Amino acid sequence: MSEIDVAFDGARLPDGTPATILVAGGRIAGLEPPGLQAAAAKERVDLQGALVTPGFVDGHIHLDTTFFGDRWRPHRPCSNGFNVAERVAIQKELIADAAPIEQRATALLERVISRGTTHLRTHVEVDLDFQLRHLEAIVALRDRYRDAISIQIVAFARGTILREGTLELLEEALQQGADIIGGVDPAGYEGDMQAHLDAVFGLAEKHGRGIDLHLHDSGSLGLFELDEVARRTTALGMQGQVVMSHSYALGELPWATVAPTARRLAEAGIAIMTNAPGDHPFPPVLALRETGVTVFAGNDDIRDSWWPYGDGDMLERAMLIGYRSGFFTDEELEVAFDLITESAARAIGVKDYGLGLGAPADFVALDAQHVPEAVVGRPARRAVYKNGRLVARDGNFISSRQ
Amino acid sequence: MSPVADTIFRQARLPDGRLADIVVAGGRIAAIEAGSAGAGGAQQTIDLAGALVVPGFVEGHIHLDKSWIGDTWKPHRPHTAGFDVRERLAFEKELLAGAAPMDHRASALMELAVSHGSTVIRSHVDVDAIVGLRHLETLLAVRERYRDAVTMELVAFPQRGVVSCPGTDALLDAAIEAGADRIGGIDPAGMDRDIEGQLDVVFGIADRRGVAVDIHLHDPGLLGVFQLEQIAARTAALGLQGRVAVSHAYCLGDVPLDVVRRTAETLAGAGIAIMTNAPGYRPFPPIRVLRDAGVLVFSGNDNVRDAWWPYGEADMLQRAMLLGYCSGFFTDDELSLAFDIVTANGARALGITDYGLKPGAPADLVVMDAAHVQEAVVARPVRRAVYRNGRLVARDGAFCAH
Repeated sequence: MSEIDVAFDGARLPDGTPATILVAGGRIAGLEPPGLQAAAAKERVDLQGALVTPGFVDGHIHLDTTFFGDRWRPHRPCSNGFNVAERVAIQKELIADAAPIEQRATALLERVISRGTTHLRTHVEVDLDFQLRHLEAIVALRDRYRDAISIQIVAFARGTILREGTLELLEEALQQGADIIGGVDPAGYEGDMQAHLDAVFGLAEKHGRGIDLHLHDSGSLGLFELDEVARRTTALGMQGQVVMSHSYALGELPWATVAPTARRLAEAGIAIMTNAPGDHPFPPVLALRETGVTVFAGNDDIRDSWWPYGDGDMLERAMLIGYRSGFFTDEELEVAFDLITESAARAIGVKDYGLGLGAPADFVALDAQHVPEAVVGRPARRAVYKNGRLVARDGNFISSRQ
Repeated sequence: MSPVADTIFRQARLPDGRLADIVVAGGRIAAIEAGSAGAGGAQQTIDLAGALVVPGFVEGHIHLDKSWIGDTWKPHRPHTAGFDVRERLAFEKELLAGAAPMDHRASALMELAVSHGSTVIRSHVDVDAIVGLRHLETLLAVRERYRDAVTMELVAFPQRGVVSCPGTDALLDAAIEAGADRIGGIDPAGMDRDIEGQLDVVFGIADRRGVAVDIHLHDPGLLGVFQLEQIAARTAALGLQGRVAVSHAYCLGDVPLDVVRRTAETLAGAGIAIMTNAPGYRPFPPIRVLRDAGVLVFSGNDNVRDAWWPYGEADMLQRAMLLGYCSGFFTDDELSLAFDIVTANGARALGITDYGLKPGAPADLVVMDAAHVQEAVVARPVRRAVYRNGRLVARDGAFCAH
């Protein structure tokens, strides 16, 4: 009896080599050149020359706030320029009469799986109003879809962290299934940078968890906060455990001003998440990478009260990062792809990621010649495999019950 | 006795939200009847079951002669020392020399554009002393072959300059004689170092030959603004209001808002349209400011996977999303504006009066599964049916006219 569960013939690896991918027990058991005496397998699948890449990683998404699976809600603009507090208030109002979170989060989750995401990190709000109800829904979703996608959960307070009862709620969240402690703009939103960071790093240290903070704060203020986060990260030996999401400030000032902060981020092993927003400066990807900073990508908000954009496709996100960064060469397009695969997996701590021996067989078979073409062409024809099992084809999620 | 219709499209969801039957006779929209039209002895009835129906998209700026679509992938060659248009042209010339026949590539790109829903195309085609009329002759043949699938107009485009490429002026005139519909231009300052010299030729041909104008303007800042003013002055002097477009006009993204507004007023007064493709990695005209000043803004995909950049899928719906994404368009009105830019505005800019979902217009329709144009812009459904003169020419991304 063959030890190999599935042999995927006709794969083309990212480096161009043709291969047969052998899967046993949900993991990659071999990468064989075609034409050799084929290893016996219980089942053979012919990928017909498709480009095979590791499953995409969405490093930052909000499953709880989307209107996917719900009716369209016209965007309500801020009254006087982007303001986090105003956006939070608008979101609260619109979510109040939205379809149940289970319905919306499920619809979005199946969408992202169908586009090739095999790992994601979702931020989930906790709030004195709804306590841990949204977290519970997402934890239940994580469990229900565990055969199709791996989910990390960042718990963060919708209101300020210093609001009475919030810290206890976050602590409870970490016991109830949240993996990572989150937060928002210690200076611009919280209004008390040191207290916010004390709280976040305090919880992280106490419970041995990582941190992922939203940082929208602009210019020199944003850089100041990044420097302080770097100092604390290094002091607590949390290199590799801290992510600063957005960090627009890194793209808002001349590189000469930003470079010292970038070096501190690199030394502190802090990763930067970007989704390459369209109308706003964002971190300079190549310069940061050259400085040794891990930069990775996420879709962030998808069709929610913050903006109407997003279709859940990380390959499109890679294209947008390249498009906004002026990436034209094959090497640059491969950087964009790296941000949704290898770098993202490293940033959020996915173990055994990739197409190596022993890794979980989480991969996407794409109708493209190579990675650069996949990034600009965003082929609709894809097959998505998780632990060697087909979970989506051509944009359609395939339930394990089918 | 009611006339026999070619087709009745039943239960179409119109952009204004109404459900209606669209009656097509002789390839044109005969009637749009909210509720239900009579059977009328139609040759065929297609039940759209509430699918969204919009007019075919207007591809307002593309380069059918330059693309690698239909050919092998050609990695982008980076500049040796910063952007240099002559170096880029040298790379392009070398790559074109080894490329698949232009007829084949242009046809493939044309089919791709139609498959995404474009029913009107304005393509610039290189005409200068180096390539002569060779590109034009090829595209004239392609146009003829596809005339049942798409309306195409050709702009004689002096890619290498006019004054700085001796012999080009005569060739541009010969191009119009040979069948090119419009006269183009390129950066009179940046390319020719002679603003008046180039504009004399371009507007001379426009005046003599009675053809509309579409000038590429990449020149930055106040240099670009000055040229816009010169173009506006000549437009007014020759009575060419409504017959002149400037493509890109990046300068309007470089200068302070008060300069943009002042220039926009001048452009509006001269009836000059601005084409933008929202490039992503560099400043581009602030669309809302232009629109508010009464300037007609339209769009195109510009270069699609060629020597200039690897991006582009020839999908005007994706272009609408990118326009909105890069402009910070979030509200329903703004998404609707993005949609107008790739439809009605494009038709107006190209001087097409019988366009749209109205009786008398050609039945050039795109049918897709979306609730309204806003959702269509952000979701960009893959599955679309494209009709030209009431006949199916593409379905689900595949060209199918003969």
